[in-house]
Amino acid sequence: MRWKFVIPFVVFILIIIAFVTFFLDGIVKSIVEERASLLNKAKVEIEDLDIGLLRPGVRIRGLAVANADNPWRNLVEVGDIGISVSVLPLFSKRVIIDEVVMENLRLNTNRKTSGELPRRLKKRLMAEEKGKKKPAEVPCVKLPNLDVFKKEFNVKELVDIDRLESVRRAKELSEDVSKMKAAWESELKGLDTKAKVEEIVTKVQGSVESLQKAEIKGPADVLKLQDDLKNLREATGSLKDLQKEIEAKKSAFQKQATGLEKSLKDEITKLKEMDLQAILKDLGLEGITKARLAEAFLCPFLAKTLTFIWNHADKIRTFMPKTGKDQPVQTRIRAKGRDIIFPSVKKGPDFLLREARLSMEQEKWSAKGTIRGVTSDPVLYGNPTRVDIRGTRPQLALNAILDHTGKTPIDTISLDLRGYPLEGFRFSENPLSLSNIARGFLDLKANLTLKGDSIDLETMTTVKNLVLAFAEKEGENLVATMVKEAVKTTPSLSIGMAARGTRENPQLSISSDIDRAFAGQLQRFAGQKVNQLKASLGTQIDGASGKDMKGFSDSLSQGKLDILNQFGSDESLVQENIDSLSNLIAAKTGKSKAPTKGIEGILPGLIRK
Amino acid sequence: MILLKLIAKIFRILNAEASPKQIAGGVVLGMIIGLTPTFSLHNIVVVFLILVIRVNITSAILSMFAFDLIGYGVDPLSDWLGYAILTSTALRPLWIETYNAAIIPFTRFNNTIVMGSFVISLILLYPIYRLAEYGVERYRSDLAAKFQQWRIVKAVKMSRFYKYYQTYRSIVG
Repeated sequence: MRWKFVIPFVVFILIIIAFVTFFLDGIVKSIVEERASLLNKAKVEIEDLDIGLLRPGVRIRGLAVANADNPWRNLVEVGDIGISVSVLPLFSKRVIIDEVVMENLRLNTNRKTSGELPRRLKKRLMAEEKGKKKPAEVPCVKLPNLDVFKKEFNVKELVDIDRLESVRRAKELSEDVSKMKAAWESELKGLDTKAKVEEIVTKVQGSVESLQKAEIKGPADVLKLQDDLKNLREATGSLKDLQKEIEAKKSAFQKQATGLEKSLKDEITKLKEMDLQAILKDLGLEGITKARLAEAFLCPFLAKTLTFIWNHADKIRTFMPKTGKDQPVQTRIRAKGRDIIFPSVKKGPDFLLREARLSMEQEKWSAKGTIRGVTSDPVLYGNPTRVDIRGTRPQLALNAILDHTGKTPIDTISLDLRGYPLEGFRFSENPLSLSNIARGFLDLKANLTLKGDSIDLETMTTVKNLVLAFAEKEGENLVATMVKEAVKTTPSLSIGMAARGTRENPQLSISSDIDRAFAGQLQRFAGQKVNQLKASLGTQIDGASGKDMKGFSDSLSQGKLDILNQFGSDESLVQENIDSLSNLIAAKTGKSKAPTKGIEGILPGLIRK
Repeated sequence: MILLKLIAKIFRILNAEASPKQIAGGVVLGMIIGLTPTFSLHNIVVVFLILVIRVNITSAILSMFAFDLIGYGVDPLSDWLGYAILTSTALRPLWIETYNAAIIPFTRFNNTIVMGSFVISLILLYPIYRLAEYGVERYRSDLAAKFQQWRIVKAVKMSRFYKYYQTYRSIVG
C-alpha cells in the first residue's frame, strides 16, 4: 500500500467535488438554457439558478421562454420556480420531483432583446432536425389578388387548350364508349342466343314432328302425346328463361349506357370547373368565392394551430415514450456506442414530477392550477398526466389528460375561455396589413383529442366588440381594403374551425359569419368584374371541349344503337321460336294456357278431332 | 524530441529496479483505462488501484496512452460485443437489477462501448499481464546488453539531449 499516494488522490477528488459544487449552478444553468433553447427553437433564459445541496432542490428566478414565431416576445415568463427533489433516487440516476411551485407566471410578454437562437445553436438545431419527420403542411387557399382587375384581360390568351383537363378527358371519352361497346359485344357473344335456341329446338324436334302427325287411336297414344306436349312446354319454358336473361342484360346495358353518359358529362362539368379554378389561381384569384375568401382568411390560423399542436405533441411524446416492463430492448445512440435502456422496474420511472403548482397574476390574467404525474415512463407509472388550470380573470378552465399508458397515446385537452381582452394583441407580418387589435373580447371553446397520429379538433371562437387596427401601407391591395371594410361592419364574429383525420391528411372545415360580411364587400369591390371574367372563361373552356364532347355524344348514340340492335335480333329469334312452339301447343290443346284437369282438359284439340 | 523522450522512458522502466510483476501490473491497469472510455466511473477505481497498489505508475501511464490509441480501432468490436452482452436474454434480469441499483448506473455499464471494451480488457488482462512480465524478464536477461550495442541506442546516448537528461536525472535523483 502506497499511502503517500492515497492522501493526494483523496485531496484531488475532494478538490474536484468542491470545484463542481462551486460552479455547479452555472454549469447546470448553461446546460438547461442550451437544451431548453434547442427544444423551444428560441432562447430560453434563466436569470439565476440555485441548486440546494443541504436541502435538495432547485430554485430558478427569472425564467423567460422566447416565442420562436415572434422573437421579440416571450411565450411565458416565470418569476420564481421552486423545485424540491427527492435525494435517494438521485443515487440510482432517477430524478423524482416531489413538488414544483411556479409563481408570478406571465404570458406573451415583451422582450428587450431578440429571442432568436444564436448562430451556434441554430447550426446544432439544423443538424439535430435533419432527417426528422416534419408534420405535413396544411393546404390553404391563398387570398385573392383583386388588383389584377386593374388591367384588361385577353380571355383567349388566358385559356391554354393544352392545359385544360376537360379537353383532355373529352378526347378520351370516345375511347371509353368504344371500350364499353366492345365489352357488351363480347357479353352478347358469350350469351350465344342462336346456339342456345338451336339446341333447345333440336332437342324437341322429335316431339314437334310427332305432335304434328298425332292421332289418338288408343290410350297408349294419349300417353305419348302427353309426353310430347310436356317436352314442348319445357322447351318453351327454357326459351322464356333465355328471353328473361336477354331482357335483364339489355336493361343492364341501358342502365350502364345512361349512367356512363351522365357520369362522364358530370365529370367533364367538374373538370371544366377545375380548369376555371386553375386559371383563376394563375391569376391570383383562387379564393374568389365568399366561402373560400373566409377560408383563405382563416385557414392560416388553423394551419398554424395544427402545426403548433403536432410539434408540441411530438415533443411530449419524445419525453414520455411508451416503455415499461414488456417492451423490447430500447437503444439510444450516443456519440460513442449505444445506451441500452432497461426498464426501471423496482423503484419507478427515471423521471417523475409528482405535482407542479402554478399561479399567474398579470394585468389580463389571474389563474391557478396544477400539473400532476409528468414522467419519462408512463407505462411504469401507470397514470396519465393531468393538467387542471382555472382562472377567474378571465373565466378560464383548462383540462388536459395525456394518457400514454396504453398501446396508443391519447391526449385530450379541453379549453373554455370567456371574456379574454384582446386589446393590444399584435399580429405578425400578414398580407392584410393587420397591425393589432384595438378592442375586443374573446370567448373560446376548444376540444382536442390526439389518438396516435389522428386528430379531432373542434374550436368555436366568438370575438365581441372587435375593433382592428391596420398598418398604413402605400399601394395597399384591394383585398386588404375589402377585409378592412368587412371587419368594420362586423363588430362581432363567430368562427368555428374543425380538423379531423391524420397528420398527413387533415380534413379542415371552417365556418364563420365573416362570410356574410365578405360576400357584401366582394360584390361591392369586384362582383361584376369577377362574374364577367368567370363567364367569358367558362364560354372559352366550353368551346374548347365542345367538339370532342359532340364526338363523344355521337359515338355513344351510335354504340348504344348497335348494341340495342343486336339485343333486338336476339330477342326476335327467341320470340319467334316461343311463338312457334306455343302455337303448336295451342293448336293441339286448343288453349294457349296451361290445361285444366281431366283428359278433355289435357287434350281438348285432339279429342275434338 | 517527444519520441526520444518516450523511448528513453521505456528503457528507463525496463532497466529500473521495479520488478517485472510491478511493471506488468501497471501495464494491465493502464490498459483498462486506455481501452475503455476514459471518463467512466470505474476508471476512478482503476486510477485509485494504480496509486495504491505497488505497480509501476510510469508503465501504467504509457500503457494507458498506447491502449487508448488501440481502443479507437477496437471500438466497433466493443460496440458489437457490448450490444450482444447487454441484449442477451439470459443476462437481462441481471442488467435490469443492476440498472435499478444505486450508484452503478453512473458507471455507464449500459453503454455498448463501455461494456464491450471493459469485457475485452478483462479478457486480455491475464494474457497481457503474463506477456508483459515475460517480456521484461526476457529483456533484462537476454536483450538488455544487446540493446546497448544497437546503433540507435548508441546515437541516443551520444546525443546532447541524453547528456542533458542524464545530468537532470542525477540532480533530481
